[in-house]
Amino acid sequence: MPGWRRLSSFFSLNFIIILAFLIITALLPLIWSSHGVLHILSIIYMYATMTLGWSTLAGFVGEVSFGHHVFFGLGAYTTALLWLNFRLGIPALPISGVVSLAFAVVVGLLFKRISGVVFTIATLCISEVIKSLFLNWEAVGAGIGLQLNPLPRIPMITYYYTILAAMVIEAFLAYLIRKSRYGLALFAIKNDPTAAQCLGIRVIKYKILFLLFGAFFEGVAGGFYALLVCHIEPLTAFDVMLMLNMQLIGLLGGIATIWGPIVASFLFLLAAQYVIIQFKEIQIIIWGVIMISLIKFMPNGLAGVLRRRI
Amino acid sequence: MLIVENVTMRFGGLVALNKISLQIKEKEIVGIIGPNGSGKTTLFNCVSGVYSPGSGRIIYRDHDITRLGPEKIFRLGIGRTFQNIRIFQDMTVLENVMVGALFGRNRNITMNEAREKALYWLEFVGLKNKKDMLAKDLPLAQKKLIEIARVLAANPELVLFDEPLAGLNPEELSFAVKTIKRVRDELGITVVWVEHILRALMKAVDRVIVLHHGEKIAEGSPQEIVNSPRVIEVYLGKKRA
Amino acid sequence: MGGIYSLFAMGLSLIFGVIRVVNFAHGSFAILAAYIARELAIAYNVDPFISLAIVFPLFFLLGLIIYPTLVRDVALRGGRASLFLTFGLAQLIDGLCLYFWRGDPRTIPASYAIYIIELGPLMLPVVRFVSLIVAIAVTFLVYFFISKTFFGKAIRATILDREAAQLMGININYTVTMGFGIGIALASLAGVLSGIIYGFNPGSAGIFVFRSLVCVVMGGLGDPFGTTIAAFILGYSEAIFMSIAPAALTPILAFLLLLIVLIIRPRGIRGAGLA
Repeated sequence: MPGWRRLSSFFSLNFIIILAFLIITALLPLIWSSHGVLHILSIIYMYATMTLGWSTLAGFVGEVSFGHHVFFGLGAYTTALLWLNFRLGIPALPISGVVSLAFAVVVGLLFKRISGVVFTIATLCISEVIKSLFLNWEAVGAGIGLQLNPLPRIPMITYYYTILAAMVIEAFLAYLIRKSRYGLALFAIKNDPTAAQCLGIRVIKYKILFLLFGAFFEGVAGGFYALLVCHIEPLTAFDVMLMLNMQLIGLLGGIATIWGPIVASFLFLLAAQYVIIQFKEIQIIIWGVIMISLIKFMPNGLAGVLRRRI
Repeated sequence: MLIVENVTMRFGGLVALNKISLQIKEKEIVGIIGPNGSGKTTLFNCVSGVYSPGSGRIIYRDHDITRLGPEKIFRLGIGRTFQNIRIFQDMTVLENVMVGALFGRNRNITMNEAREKALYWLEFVGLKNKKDMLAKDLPLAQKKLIEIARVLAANPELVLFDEPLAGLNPEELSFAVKTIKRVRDELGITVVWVEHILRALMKAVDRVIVLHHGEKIAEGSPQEIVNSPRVIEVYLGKKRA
Repeated sequence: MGGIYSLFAMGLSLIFGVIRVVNFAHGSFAILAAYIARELAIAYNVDPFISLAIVFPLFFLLGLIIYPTLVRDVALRGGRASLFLTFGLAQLIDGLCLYFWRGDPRTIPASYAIYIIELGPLMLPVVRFVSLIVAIAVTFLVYFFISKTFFGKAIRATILDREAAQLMGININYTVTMGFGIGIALASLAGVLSGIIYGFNPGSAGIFVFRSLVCVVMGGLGDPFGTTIAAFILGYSEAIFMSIAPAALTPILAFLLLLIVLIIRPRGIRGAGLA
């Protein structure tokens, strides 16, 4: 894997960049504690966390899921319920992650033998179904959703560090996996799944692994969202736009890399701030155009473009 | 060691394997020959689990492996190479073989141990000096050697070689044949070898099985097969048609 | 309803067969067709069923244009990229529809929509009856086309084995483009018919796509006949389901059916799909 080997030879350079990034993001609130800025950055980290989960499945294993936002929504609802019933704030996040993880286990077992387009369709189906369920489930507010009353009094700074931590942990874990023997197996699967299978590599195992990995962090991100906006309903928590944005960011950054989605999150959301789109229709159109252009001209995202230059 | 019993494999209307039966004994080198389309690769695919035969059984050392997937079949000990070489193109030579070592039948090894093993097998096939090159940059003959090193690193008991000699020049060819013989002679691994290049194969194997239209039409020592009128008819007859 | 699904699903299957890409934008094309038919009906007083004759070739041409410009390169590249492409295309079309026509539900009015005919014990609104006839007729036409004409056979050959078809001298590019065009045109038919009977809004595209994806997979990828069967099964089960359960839960039915089929027969109902 060219990127992998170059990483070792450019070890110092990448290490420095990452370290710098960590230091800057960690110290930022002390320098610039504007509520608005921290808010935006938190959203960026949230999207990055979500997208990373999705893109590892797509980029490392090669399975595209059109239903990842279901984990997000589940996480959001779990956190909301935990708050309403137990007043659990930030600690609810890992629990939400676990709940999403549990659901992912079920999905993984159900979809064990499904791959390719069928997998994509099936994941799309399941997210639609769960959304319908929640739309009609009185106990969790049906169409109206849940309101976090009383409002959690969490300072912006805590939000910021929490989601930053989640993102960093996720990226780090993904990195560890990639460097380990599993990373090698994944790359083998990507190169030639049949050959990999005939050498004893259980492709299904890896598929499920990344499904779970992504689902957990997706759940955490969802919970974070719930705490942040304090009101969730099926149409927003399971919003297709979430998934669309996830995919766009993932593709923009390059789905086989770790830094890709993170950087793309920044780019995308910062751009979105400056181009405030009034009408949802135009948003969708632009999204479509961007997506099509991406696929035609930049199929490997930023990572691909940069690689060509190097 | 390996028993194929009445296996039939269909693709739509086409019958690729028709109630085929054969046996492989431990530590043999068996060659499987036959005109194009006789079902040789399909047979390999069934044995290695890539396809699931429509009917019949495949038994390996008392395990019924007929419906097992490729990973499980490999874990039981059957490895293979591919007719149209399936190495991991974007990985280095060393990495290719390391995959074999790490995920083969001895999985409890560290990355460093795997690296050592990979180097050992690269030496065995003579590719040690190319270990850091990208697999896709190597010439055909060496790609085939990568595949052999990789499957050996995974520690199989029986290896299916699918047309390993195709496309090689005489020098590469004799090296490949020598290497394959070493696999059985030095390592004690059973070898099943599908081949088109008959002359090379006949000199190296213990026994030959001839397939035609998905059926076994002859079986015996290389001498017997070369002189069998039926086999000659099948090969020459095909040309006339 | 099964008839409409099957038209739609046939087009989808066809496109999948020739370029091995699931066209996520299929539903969007259908809805676009419905909007266009509506415009024709309102602005120029064109009878909806007549507008079919306009819409069909229009969308056929549209397909012929879109394929080489947008789809071909990506489809040939293989891999997952094409999923995103058609998905993006779907969003683009949906967005355009939303922009031009806002989001309210619409129908395509027909002057005789209120009449009902009696067929023995059944009382069907005329529009449904005519739609059913159209659907069945088109289905038969398509089958006829595919099995009897040379071109139809070329398409079938391409679906079964692209390389072999190429070797036989069939111009793959031409054939596939045509196939794509026909597929889109079929979608447009389904869209208009559905628009006449049920009304539509931009969100319908998603529903269409969702349901038909279920049908295509249930019937077996690349197996148009199986898809048709699945479409009918789905259509009728939904009708039954809707009378006993809240409508919003219908997606669950589709999904459950799909799951059951996938677990029991991953290659589709007839077992002939690609899975």
